[in-house]
Parts: sequence; C-alpha cells; structure tokens
Amino acid sequence: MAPLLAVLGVGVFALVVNVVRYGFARDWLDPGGYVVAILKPLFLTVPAYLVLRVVLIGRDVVAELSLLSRALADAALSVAGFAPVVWFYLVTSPTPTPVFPLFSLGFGALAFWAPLLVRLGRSISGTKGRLLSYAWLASLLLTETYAMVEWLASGIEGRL
Amino acid sequence: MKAVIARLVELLRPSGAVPSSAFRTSMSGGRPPSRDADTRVDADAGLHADAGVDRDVGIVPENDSIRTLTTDLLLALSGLAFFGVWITSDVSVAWRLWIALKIAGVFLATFVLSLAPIYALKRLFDVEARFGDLVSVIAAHFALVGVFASVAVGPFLLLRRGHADADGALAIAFLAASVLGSIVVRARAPRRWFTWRLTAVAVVLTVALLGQSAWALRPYMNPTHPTLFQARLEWFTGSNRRTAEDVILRLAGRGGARPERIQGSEAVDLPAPSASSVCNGQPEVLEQAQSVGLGG
Repeated sequence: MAPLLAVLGVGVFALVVNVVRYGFARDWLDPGGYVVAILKPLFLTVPAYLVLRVVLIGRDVVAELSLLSRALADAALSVAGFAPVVWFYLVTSPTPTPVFPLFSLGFGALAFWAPLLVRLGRSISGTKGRLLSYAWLASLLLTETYAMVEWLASGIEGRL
Repeated sequence: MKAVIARLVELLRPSGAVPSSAFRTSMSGGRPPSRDADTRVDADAGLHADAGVDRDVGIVPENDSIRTLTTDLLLALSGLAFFGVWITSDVSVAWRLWIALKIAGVFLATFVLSLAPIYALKRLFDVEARFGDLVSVIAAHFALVGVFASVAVGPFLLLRRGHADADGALAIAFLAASVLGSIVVRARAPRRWFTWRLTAVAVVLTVALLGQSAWALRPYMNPTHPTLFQARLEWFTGSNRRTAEDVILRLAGRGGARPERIQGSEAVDLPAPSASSVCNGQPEVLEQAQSVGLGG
C-alpha cells in the first residue's frame, strides 16, 4: 500500500505542475518520468538493504517493512500536501512560460525526500546496525540527487 | 459580540490563560491535576469572569476549536481589512474596499494553503494534538495579526508621507511587525503544540506562503505604482535563474551551449509567451514583463 501511496503522492504533484505548465505553455513535461526519477533509487535499493539488515543484523523483516511503509506514507503525504502550495505558486508567479519549472520540480523532490530521510533517520538512530542504515540513506540521497539532476537537466535542455 | 470580546481578551493574554483539565492531565503523564493547578485555574477564571469566559475551565475548552476558529478568522479578516482600508493613498471608496479585500485575501489564502503542509508536518513529527486544534492555533495567530494590524492604523496615519513607495514600505513594515508580534505573543501561551524546531519550520512555511500570497494579490498603494514585490520578477527572469539552470546542467555533465528554449521569447519549440498571459492582466506587471523582453 505504501509504495502505491508514494507513486500517487509524487504523481499528483507532478500532474499539478504539468497541468499548470500545459495551461500556460502547451508543453507536457513527462510526469511519469518525474515519478520514476524520484522513486527509482528507493525501489532499486530497498530489497538489498532489507536483505542486509536481516542477514547481518538479524532484524525482523516485518518490522523493517512497517518502518519503511510509514516513512513512505509520510513522504507521500508531504509531497501531496505541498501540491496545492506549488499550484498557487505557479499560477501566481509571472515566470516566462518557456522556462522549465526547475524550482517547483526541485521543491517536489525535496518535499518527498526530506520527510523520508527524517523519518527513517529518526527511527534507526540508537538501534543496532545504524551504521548500515546511515550508509544506505547517504547512498540513497546521492543516487537520488544524481537521478533528479539528470532529469532536471533533460528538462532544461528540452529533451523530455 | 460578547464571545468575540472574550476571545480577544484571551488572545491578548495567552500567558494568563491556563490549559484545560484534559490537557493538564495529558501533560502530567495521566495523573490528575494537582490542587495547586486547580487553584491557578480558579484565579485565572476570576480574571476572565467579566469577559464571559467559562469559570470552570478558564479558557475555551479544547473541543470548542470550531467556535474559536470562526471567531479568530472573523477577527483576523476584519482587522486586516480595516488596515487595508486605510493604507491606500487613493480617496475612492471602491479602491479602498478593493485593497481591504486584497489584504484580507492575502492572509486567508495563506491560512488555507498552509493547512495541508501543516498536517504533513504533524504526521511526520508524531504531534499528538488533534488537527482541528492545530488549525485553531494557526487561526489564533492570524487573529492576533488582524488585531495588531488594526491598531497599527493610527501610527501608520501619523507616519505616512503621502508618497506611494514610502507608504507602501511602511504598510508592509507594519504588517511584518504584526506577524512578528503575533508569533511573540503566542509564544507566551502555556500550551506547547510543537517543538521549537517544528515551530521554526511552520513559521518559515507560513511566512513564505504569506510572501507568495502578497505577491499574487499585490495589495499596492497605487495601481500604477508598484512597490517592493516587483523585484521578484527580475529575479526569475534575470541572471540568477540562468545561473541556477547552469549549475544543474554542469552537475549533470552537460555544460555545453544552452538551448534556445530557456532563453526567453526566442524559444524555437514553443510559442513566444505574451506578457499579458503571464501577468494575469496586472498592468504594472505587464509593464515590467515588457521591459524584460516578453512579447506584448
């Protein structure tokens, strides 16, 4: 359920930005690509992380999944909650229409990743195997930044 | 009217009000409130008795947040509208009322838009308070802003110079002081809803939304004489935005020539924007947009 919520939350945000942009510039910015860019590092690394936590530290898979689900749900709620704010920002800012909505889309990534990292960071602090978790979070942050920068650069260059 | 006055007194003296019995129980780890606390409640209830506040609880009960929300929003909007009526240099009644509506609208839009992010923050940081109570607290802040703004009309009329730019800056300064005053006064309240970090996040969020709402509704002193918010247009169309885009391209290893698409109206794959389409018909912004190179 939580992965679906994450896709829905980020998708709603991407749709809001895209619909506003389409209204102004008749230009579609690939909302699906944005969802993939945000969630890809997470979905690709979670299985390996879970296996390592279970094998090396002996954590309960169900508890780990529950923790991740809660963090994902919070992140999805956060990015969806900021969608109306960004809609308001977009429709009231007289930005020239050909400009790629760099700040709005970057803000969406921040609104998703900050709660996710905060929730996961808080829940693993003080527990056994936190070094592994922190290393995973750091690598997640790096790969996510890389994926998002790549996607934004494509948007700036007009290749979406 | 009596309820509004009672609420006003309560808002202005948050440190005098005490938590309701339910809150005191939760703060004391489930233990019943001490006799000292009860004595304090009675003393404070005595202070508020003339204002019509319930003597048994001292302040409006927790489950009455809907009623206080209505009163607070009423106080906020009427106070801000009153401020708006007096800050314009135009003598026409219609223009004064329009500015009053705009000022009230700025704060109402901020209030409405801040609710979803605040709910996300509440969930993320496991705040145990009910969301309705949090909404009520936010409305209480806005009510105080309205009260402070309405009493700032007098000093504003004394200090105004009759010059649109200076008076615009003065009006914004008074509103900023009202917002700051509301935060300071509410910080004295006995009830702590958020930790200081979460409070800082919520304040930054709300102030950012307030700035955006102010930019959106543009409650200028004079329709043909824009004031402070105008600088933002230049920020987004000027060199700062291009620097940000260049940084992204360089980080992605694509530091080559910039595409035509992002260089304003010379876009090759998109129709050039009309200034009126991006300015929502605002004449002052239209003028600025034309000055930075957008088509008319």
